[in-house]
Amino acid sequence: MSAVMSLNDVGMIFSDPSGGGNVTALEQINLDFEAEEFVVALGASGCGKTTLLNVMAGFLPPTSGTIALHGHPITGPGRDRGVVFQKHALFPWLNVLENTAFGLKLQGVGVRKRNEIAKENLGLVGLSEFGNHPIYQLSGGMQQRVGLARALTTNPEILLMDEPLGALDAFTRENMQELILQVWQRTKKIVFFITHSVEEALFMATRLIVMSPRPGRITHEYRLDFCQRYFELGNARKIKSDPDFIRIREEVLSIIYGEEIEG
Amino acid sequence: MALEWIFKTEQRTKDPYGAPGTGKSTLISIVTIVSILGAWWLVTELQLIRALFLPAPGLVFSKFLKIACVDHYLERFLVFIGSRTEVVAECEGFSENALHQHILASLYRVFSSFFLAVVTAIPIGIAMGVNRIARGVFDPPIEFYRPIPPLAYLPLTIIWFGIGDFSKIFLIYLACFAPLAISARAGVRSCSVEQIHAAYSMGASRNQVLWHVVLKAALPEILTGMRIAIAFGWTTLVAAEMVAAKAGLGVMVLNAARFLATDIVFLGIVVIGLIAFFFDALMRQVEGLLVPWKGKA
Repeated sequence: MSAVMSLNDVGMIFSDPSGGGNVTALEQINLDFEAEEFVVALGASGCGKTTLLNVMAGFLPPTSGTIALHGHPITGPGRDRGVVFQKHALFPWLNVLENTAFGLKLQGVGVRKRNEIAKENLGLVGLSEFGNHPIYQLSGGMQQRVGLARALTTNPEILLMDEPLGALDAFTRENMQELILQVWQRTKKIVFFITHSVEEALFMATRLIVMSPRPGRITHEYRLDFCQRYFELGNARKIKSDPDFIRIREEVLSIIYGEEIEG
Repeated sequence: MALEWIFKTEQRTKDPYGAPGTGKSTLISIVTIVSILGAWWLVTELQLIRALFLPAPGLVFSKFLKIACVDHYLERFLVFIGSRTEVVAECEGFSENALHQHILASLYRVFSSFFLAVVTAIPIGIAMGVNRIARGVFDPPIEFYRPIPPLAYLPLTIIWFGIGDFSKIFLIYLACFAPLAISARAGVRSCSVEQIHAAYSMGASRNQVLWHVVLKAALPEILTGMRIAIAFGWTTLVAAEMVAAKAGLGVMVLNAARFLATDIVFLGIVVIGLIAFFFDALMRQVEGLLVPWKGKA
């Protein structure tokens, strides 16, 4: 299968304006995304995972290398790559439905048509009843669901999720993991998901990439199927307490802690 | 000692260990207003201060009835509905104008200045916030004139534009301009980079980001700037009406002071204060309607 999105030798160097030398945020990133993949990037803070997402989204032009979507090079942000942020990304002057329909409004889609599509997506994240609510009345978890519905509404090729569950409490977070997997299963979008929770990464990913800092690079890669097992069993807790799961969790943790000690 | 006392009264609130200073203060404010009015009445009733310095509330009220020509207009109304045949009471007013004419003259000056400032200063402030060149061009003149008291450049506006209404409106316009431009400039900074990135990743153009995100996010601060600006306008009104104005609340106060008619000075001050207060209350309602998310997200 040919890659939908591919990164070739992507590097990112930030020059320090105060003259303290350059910081290599990303070095030689090679990554291919194939259809229906759920790729999770895991790493300690400062390993360049958010920079990587910003480069893929087109917010930051890389200092070296190329990124292509279906063979076409990426030069800036676009609606073929939907982004879900950790927080502060919704528009409080719009209600839930208007937030969700925003991308279609930009394209000039008529109000009836765009509300219809937005309602479908709100249904996908379980917020059908909340279209008319102002977003500042929603809980953090519900706001993230609106963010997901909104990113899906422009029908992107790939969903880029920048620690979308990082600001949520542990219980909401586990529910949201399952919700995101269900949405992924139904929409078949490629997902690139950033987290620094090992358990979350293992549970959700079909492919896990472990990144390490200074310079930011990919050190390990795993093919995983815990999310498939979740779809079969429907019990997240059972999968997370499975011996296989715990073994890989400890392995990945020792990689990350090992690097911390080296660094 | 005083601090200790303030803290003790604070602790009597329902939430003793919460953030200090929360809870309603409306009732206390009403008590304050009543106390001030009561003290005013008592001091004048006991004749502790001469009427030249502090006229009695009743005196100010009767001056209000006289200058507003209440008798005259009441009779005209009675004639109009046919229960009276002629108008006897004359409308004296003050400085050749009835109170409502003074009020209308001042309202016209303040609000036309405010309107002109809104349509010019807000676009310029937004341009300053989103454009390096605009910021470079407009920042020095605005920051230079902003702290200068309007009374200092009043003579210059008269030399340039004469003694007509234009120089008065121009003076108030300048007073409103700076706070509006500065709030609009600061307002465009109030959207988060995530909001901007989100819009771009949904396919927004630069103009769409500016219109649908930056400007919307700036609205709360712009409205706050409007409230500050109109207050500046009212504070500049008396200065603007110092030279060659026939009608206006500022003229009324200045002329009254010249004749030591302290009651009319009081009346003018109260009327200006009330108009400004009610307009601000209206603006707060508008804020509630237009930017209900203010301070919540």
